[in-house]
Amino acid sequence: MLDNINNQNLKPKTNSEISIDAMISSPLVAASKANTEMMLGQTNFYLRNCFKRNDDNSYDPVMIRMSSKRQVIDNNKLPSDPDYITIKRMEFEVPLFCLIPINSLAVDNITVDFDMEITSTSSWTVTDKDRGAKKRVIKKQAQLNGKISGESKQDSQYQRKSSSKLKVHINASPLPLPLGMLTILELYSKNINPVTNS
Amino acid sequence: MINPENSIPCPVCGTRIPFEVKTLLAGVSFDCPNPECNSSIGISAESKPIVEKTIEKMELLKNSTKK
Repeated sequence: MLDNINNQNLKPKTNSEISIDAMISSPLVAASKANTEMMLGQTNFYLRNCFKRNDDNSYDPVMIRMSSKRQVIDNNKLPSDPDYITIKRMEFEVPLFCLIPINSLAVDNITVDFDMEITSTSSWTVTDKDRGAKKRVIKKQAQLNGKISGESKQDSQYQRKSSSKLKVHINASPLPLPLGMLTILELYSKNINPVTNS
Repeated sequence: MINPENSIPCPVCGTRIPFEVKTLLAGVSFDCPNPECNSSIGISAESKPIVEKTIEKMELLKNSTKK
């Protein structure tokens, strides 16, 4: 029974040979996918909650009402008069998305750190086929294949620990808003100010 | 942040008034930093539920992405 278990390949296949291109690009592709997921999540949240969808598939922002109070001093009256200071109220509308504090999170820095053990190399030539019968070598491409260096430790009779050293540090932080969003915000911000009839 | 400084322009003088949404929802008014303006802004009672609901949904979204 124990022999059967020992004969099975229970180790994860982490030490198979892969090209150096794939080794570098896979964490970057994964980070890019994560970025897209975050962006999509945020955009969907805006569209679902901060905008109303019209029948013609256009979107209108959900507006909320705010009020402004202002103390106005009447200089024609004395400070002891009851109406010396009056409070003027004004109502105005602001788009809901101006108030919602959503992080515009995105991956902005990725560090891929690994030790690679080169196990094989290959190369191929790129030739110019279009120029007559005589082929001309344009460039020679090299391909490095290898596996991530790691260590294997025998802890006990039945336990063995294998580890590979591939470290990916991802740093996500709030990024500046896209120009389109800033323009929308600015447009609505300008409309908050009362306009004089002229 | 969608609203990087979490501020909106004062409807009277245009100076940006910094605010905090949760405090705004609690009924607090925020004063305009312009000393000559003397105005303050607050959220109207009729709009509170919709902002509260959106903030709640946002918290849910945040918690779901943490898991």
